[in-house]
Amino acid sequence: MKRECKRIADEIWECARAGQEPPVEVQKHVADCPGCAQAASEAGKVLELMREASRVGAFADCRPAVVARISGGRARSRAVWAYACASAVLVGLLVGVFYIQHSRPVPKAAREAAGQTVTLPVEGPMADLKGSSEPSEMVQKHEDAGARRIPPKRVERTTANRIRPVKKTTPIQARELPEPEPALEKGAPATAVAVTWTLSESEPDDSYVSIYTDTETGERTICRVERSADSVNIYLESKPTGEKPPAEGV
Amino acid sequence: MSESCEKLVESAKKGDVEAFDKLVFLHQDQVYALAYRILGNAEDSADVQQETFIHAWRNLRKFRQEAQFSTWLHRISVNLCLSMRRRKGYMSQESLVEELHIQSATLNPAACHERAEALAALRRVLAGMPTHYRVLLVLRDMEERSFREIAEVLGCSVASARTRLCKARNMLRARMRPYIMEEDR
Repeated sequence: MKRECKRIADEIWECARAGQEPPVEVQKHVADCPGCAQAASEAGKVLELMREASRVGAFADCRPAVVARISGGRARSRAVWAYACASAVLVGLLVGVFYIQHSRPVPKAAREAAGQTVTLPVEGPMADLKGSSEPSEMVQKHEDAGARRIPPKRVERTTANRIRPVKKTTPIQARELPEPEPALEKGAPATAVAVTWTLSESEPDDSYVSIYTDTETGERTICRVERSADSVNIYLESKPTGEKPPAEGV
Repeated sequence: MSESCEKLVESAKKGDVEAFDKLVFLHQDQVYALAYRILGNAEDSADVQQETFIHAWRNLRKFRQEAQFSTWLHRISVNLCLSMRRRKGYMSQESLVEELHIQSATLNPAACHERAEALAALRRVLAGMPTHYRVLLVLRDMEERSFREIAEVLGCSVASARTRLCKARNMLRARMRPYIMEEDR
């Protein structure tokens, strides 16, 4: 169908819908164009059928149902709000009771028993490496009950035993740390140290690990002693609690 | 929007159920007719009619009175009809008996039967057409709405409504051709 014919067909349809005679130019076109004449005839018949099809039968009055639903909806929403408020209050009460029950003060005796620690002076290689004869306060945890002390006179310092500088690490959690001890500020604080010396025949062949935690700085020191057939390797590693050691020794 | 209708809408917006009841009374026949012409099924049309007013009540605060209340209602109704058609995916057919009953007073039995068949064919063709075409044909050729109103109901431009209606009419004419030719013979 040509574009002009499409426009004419639409115009014929509109005129038929409105029950009007088409304009003269349209009538002329229809007289000359068999396609448009057919379209005009079809449009009239289809529109007639559509008018018949548009008749609507009787229907029930929907007002009572609508009003009932609206009123019911209001009452329901009020009930929902009431239930929600009551539930919130109940939950609040339960949480409060739970909190009160679980936040009772711990008896004094229990607190003392739970926080029992042993303060030991630091001796041996650690005391020597820190450059201070005065023992600092170290707390020995009960992780290794059978830890043995190493006699300080047996330590031989070599170039490999020297204190290595601390690698600066980014803290995982930003928190304010206590001021470092003056003795540690002079040189780099010890973080990992390895000491090796020859083992005499009379010494027992034994290895162990002991862990120390400094209560002031929260620093944790692991001392691992490995004895082989002819030598002893001591590995000291110091690190803040929960972090990886910044350096390792052999 | 007429003054009384405007006042009723204002009162209904404030929660006046009685005012809304009056609005339902004024518009329920139009809403039902539109739903019936789109769906072609009395039961579903009654459902859509009721749902339209419930939706209108719930969203009355959103109605800004820029358009007529009836146009707004028809928009809700058309949307509900479209979702129902999508959901059910049916092609509703009214009984031929009803059509025969409509025409029995004016036509002889044979002509009446032919007419009923043609009407049933029209319903089938309309039901098989794309929904937006069917809605356009209903609004313009059955309900005789203006293009401006149709554009408001469908949420499109007047030009777009005109173009789509032209296509819908061509499609309807082409699909109805076999039945009209048969009627002529």
